[in-house]
Parts: sequence; structure tokens; C-alpha cells
Amino acid sequence: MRRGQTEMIGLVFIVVALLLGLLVYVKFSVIVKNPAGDLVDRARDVQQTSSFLVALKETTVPNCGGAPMERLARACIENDRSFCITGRPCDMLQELFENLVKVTLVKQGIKFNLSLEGTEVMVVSTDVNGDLDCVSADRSVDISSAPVGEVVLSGGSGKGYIRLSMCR
Amino acid sequence: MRRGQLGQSFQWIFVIVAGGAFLVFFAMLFRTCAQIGDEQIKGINIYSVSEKLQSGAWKGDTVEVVTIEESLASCPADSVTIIGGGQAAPMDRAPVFIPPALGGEMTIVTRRAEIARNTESPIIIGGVVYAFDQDTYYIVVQDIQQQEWRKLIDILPDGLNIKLISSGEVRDIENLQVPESAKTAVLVSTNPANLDLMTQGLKLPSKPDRYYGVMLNFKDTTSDGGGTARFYVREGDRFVPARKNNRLNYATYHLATGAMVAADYDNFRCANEAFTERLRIITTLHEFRARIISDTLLEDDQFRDPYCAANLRIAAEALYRMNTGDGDEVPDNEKYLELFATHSGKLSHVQRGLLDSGCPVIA
Amino acid sequence: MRKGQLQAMEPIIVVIMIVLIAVVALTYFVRLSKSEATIMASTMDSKDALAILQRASTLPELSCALSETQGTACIDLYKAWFMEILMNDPTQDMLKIRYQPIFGNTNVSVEIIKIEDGSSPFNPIQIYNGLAPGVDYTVTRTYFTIHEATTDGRAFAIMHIARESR
Repeated sequence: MRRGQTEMIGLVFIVVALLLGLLVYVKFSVIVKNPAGDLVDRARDVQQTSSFLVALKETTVPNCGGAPMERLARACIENDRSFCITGRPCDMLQELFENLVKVTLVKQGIKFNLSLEGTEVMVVSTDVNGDLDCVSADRSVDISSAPVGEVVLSGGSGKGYIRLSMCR
Repeated sequence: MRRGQLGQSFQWIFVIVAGGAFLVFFAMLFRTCAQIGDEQIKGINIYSVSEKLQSGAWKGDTVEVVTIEESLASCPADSVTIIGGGQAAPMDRAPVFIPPALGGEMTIVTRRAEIARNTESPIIIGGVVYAFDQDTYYIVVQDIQQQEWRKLIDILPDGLNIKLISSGEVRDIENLQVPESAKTAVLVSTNPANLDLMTQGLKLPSKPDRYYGVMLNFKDTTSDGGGTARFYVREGDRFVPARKNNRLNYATYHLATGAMVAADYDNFRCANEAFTERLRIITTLHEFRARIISDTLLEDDQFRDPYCAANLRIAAEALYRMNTGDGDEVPDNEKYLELFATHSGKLSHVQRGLLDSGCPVIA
Repeated sequence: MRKGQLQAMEPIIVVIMIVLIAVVALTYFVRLSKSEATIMASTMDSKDALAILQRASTLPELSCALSETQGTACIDLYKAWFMEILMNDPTQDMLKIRYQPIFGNTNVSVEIIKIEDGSSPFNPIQIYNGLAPGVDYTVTRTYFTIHEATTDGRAFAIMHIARESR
């Protein structure tokens, strides 16, 4: 090989190496934004939201002959005024959701949106200014977990859903 | 080669070697930092077998096929430990290792130990892990009543090929229609006086190739209430003492709640005690709970239910007698197990009554 | 610079480049595996919390009556009280060893929430205390229900698991 060619190869090698190094560095610096923390929080969110919903559905509604919350949710979806209480089941459900949420999710400083789909029952956390935290219409909101708890409707006519979204 | 070229090759070699040296140096430097993270997650791997067994497996039968190498039920302090493959992990349920031998591939089935088994709400008193070879046919030669045996059979897991014959039927052992190619293990339980009779009656050596092994169990009257077993494996046309795990211990009544087969009598006794201690905690808890609920249902206006209260009181009393040796004094483990056997029938009956009346049950 | 000097420096530059790339790549790799380790560790925490809940709720010492359970995590209230008494009884210290494989080095307590008003009718019941005293700890919460036999009701409950901080 001629000397000049060797030099060229060497230079090419250096340039390629430089580029590679730059690429790696750039990729590395982008991840610096606490990737571990993000994924950790997400993992925790998923676990908490699903266990919360399962427990919520099974909790016995007070003074209702031992019926679980799922049953009350069904009554709300189906607008079944004959179920247990006088007044609207959805109002009762809203109140019970709020009671529960204030000593669990709110206390933990979690941003969430708990709702019974297809109804006006909804509890959303608010930030310091009183604005809603976790409304999906807001595209800047990053929903990290949103499992649903199924509500079996009467006569097997389908399912309703209690959704708990947590966002960051 | 011309001088210049040689020089150049050497230069590149020097470059590569120097670069490699630097690389290695830095790699070592960074490895030390990375290891700190490693240690924390190492814990996941240690409890390989135990983890499977402990993974909330009370819902019905859980079946795993696990290879246990050189496993022993070992009993340090008062917890039962399973040791396998160089790792040790404690277990919260009684182990049953049915011979032929520990080692190789075994099917592990976890089963609940229960009283009032056939009700909607059996009283769970613990758990049992069965480890056995699905390809082995186990023949138990024992003088227990068929109905007792039927009770036991109900408890043993599916996939365990086991059959009981009494010592009188022992001559028919070859007619049991065990598939030709199958391994057969015979478990004989008797007292020492009958031992010669039993081995004579077995007639095993006549077709030795059908039988994998024989386990003789006899009540050793010299030791305190335990049993000793010797396992013989076939070697050619003879049965010779098994090299490994030659001395195995089990007591038949433990088949119901978990037979502990250990490498030696001390291990057996230790595992037996660990299991019994736990059983006592559970039945004490049942008594405490039945009593409190009974009192609440009687005294608290909000929850008044005299009928359920009375029935729960009966349950509490039966448990009290079990836990305290009929009120005399706190029984030792051996005595407690006898009391357990006596009172568990009554408890099943009470449980059924509670269920049928819609009362809170013994849980 | 003269051509000769440049040529002489070539191998040195190559070595430097190799080292630089190696350093950057390794740093990246270490960061990645460290974060993986942290993620795994914390996911393990969350998974651990659920695993502890499942194991606890299926222990005969804590489980609801089988006729009660619908396959979901349920702990019997009276049994939880009993466990607390047992755990606090100094003559029963050996018990902790027995339940250590279930709970690990944690403090586990359960708290009932009355859904009527969000209050806790009593202090959290400590069903296990195996955390070494004086260590820094983090608390993971998971949710389930507690069965109360006299009313045959299920109350919303929180399981607090305190584990040593990493």
C-alpha cells in the first residue's frame, strides 16, 4: 500500500470514531433526564391503580344489605332507583368515591382521575391553583396508567367501567 | 518485507496493545461501580424453588415440575427448609417427599391441609407440599381400615399413583396390574415383630425387575414414638439398602396433613415439630376468633344474633379442648396431634352447621 | 506541522480515540445497567408489595373464610388482630422467624378506611414487624379489603409495607 493511502484510512477511521463517539454521547445525555425514576414511578402507579380498583369494587356499601360497590356502580349506570337507597345511586357513588379518594390518593399526592364511564360520576385531583390535574383532553398531560375495573351489568348485557387514570 | 513496512506493522501492534490495555483498565474501573447495583437484585434468584412454592399457591392444587438435586428436608431451628442445588430457602408448609428418592425430576403439588374438607368453607390448617415421581407406582402395604385409607386418598394429589393393600393381601402384589414398564415402589408399614412375616409375604424377589424399590417402615419402640424406614433398591435380582437416603422416616397419620420424609430421624422430628407448632398457632387463632365473634354476637346490640353466637361458642369450646388438652394442661405436640385427630371430626360438623345457618364460620 | 510529525502522532491519536470512545460507551452502559437495576429494584418493590399482600391474604393465619373469598385479596379482621397480639408478645419471638419468608425484613400494617366518611375507625393493625429498628425506610401502599365477620362486610383497607430504603 502507498503511504498516502494508509494515512487516508487512518483519517477516515478517526472521523468515523469521532462520529460514533458523538452519537453515543448525545444518546447518553438525553437519557440523563432520570429515566430510572420515571419508569419506577410508572411501575408503582400500575400496581397501585389496579389494586385500588379491585378493592374499591368489593368494598361493601354501607347500609345496603352487604352489596358491594360494584353493585352500586351498576345501579348508577342503569339508573336503577330501586336499589337500596333513596335518591340517586350516582350521587351516593360520587360521595363514596370522594370519601375514599381523599384519604388515599389525594393524601399520597397522586394526580388522578377516577370516573365511572358513561356517567357523570367523576373525581379528579386538583393542583394548587384549583385546576384539574388529570383531564385527558389536555394533551400535555402524560397518563402513566389507566386500568379499568369492570362492572358487570344486569342480565349479562355488557360491562361498565370504572377508570382510574394516574398522570404525571 | 522492507524495513519501512515492518516498522509500520509494529506501530499498529503497539497501538492495538496500548489501546487494549487502556480499555481493560477503564472497564475494571467501571465494573466496580456497577456491582453496587447488582447486589440489590441478586435476591431474586436465590429462592428459586421456594419462591415457586410460596407464590400464594393456596388456590386449589398448584403443580410444578421441578428438578431438585440432592434435596433434603433439613430443619434448622424451627423452620423447615428446603435445600437444593446449593441454595437454601425456608418454606411455610410441610414437605412430603414420597420415595423412591429425592433427586431428579419430581412433580411438586401444593395442597391445602383442611378440616371440614367437603364443605363450601373448609377450615384451612396449613399446607402440604408433595414431591413425587409421576412415573412411579407406589404401593402401600399397611393394616389400616379401608375407610381411613379412602380419607387419605382423597387428600393425596392427582398424578400420584398410589394404592393400598393390607398385609393379608400382600401375596397378590404381583396381580396389581402395574404396567410392565413402570417403576414400582412398595411402602410397608408394620411393627418390628411382623417384619419378617412381611418381607416373606412380599414375594418381591421373584419378579425383581418389576420393582424399583421397597421401603420398610416400622415403629421403633425404642425411640419416642417415631418410625424408622429403610429403603431398598433393586440391584439385579436382589434388594439392597439404598445408598442415598437409606433411612427415611414418616408417620402414616401425617399423610393427611403432610408426611415428612427426612434423611434422618432428627430431621423428621424437627420438621414434625415445626409443622405442629404452626398448626397450634392456627387452631389457637381459630379459638380466639370464634370466641370474640361469639361474644360480639351475644353482647353487642348492633350485631345481636344469639343463634350464631351459641354455635360459635360450641366451636370455640371444641377448639379450647384441642388446644389445652381437654382443659387439663397444655399438651405436648404428640398429645396435641392426638387431640387434633379426635376433635377435627366435631369441628367439621360444627362448620357445616354454621355454613348452613348463614353464621360466621370458623375460618 | 510537518508530515512526518503528523504521521508519528497517528498511532497516539488512534489510542486516544479508542480510549475516549471506550470511556463514553462504558459510562453509557453503566448508567443504563444501573438504572435498569434501580428500575428492577423498584419494580420489585411494587411487585413485592403485591406479592406480600397475596401471600399474607392466603396464609391460613390471615385469610378470610373460603366461602368469603372471591379470588381477591381479603384479610380477616379478627385474625389480623390476633397476629398483632402475637407479634407483640415477647414470648413469641420465634414467630418472626417462621413468618420471615413471607414478609421479609419489613413492617406490615393494615388500615381500614370507613367509606362512609373516609375515617379510620382504629389505628393501623401491625401484622408483622420485621424491620430492623433505626433504619431508613420507604413505605409502599397497596389496597385490598378486610372482612368483618359479624357484619359480613368488606371494608376498604390499605396495607402499608415499610421496607429499608436502598
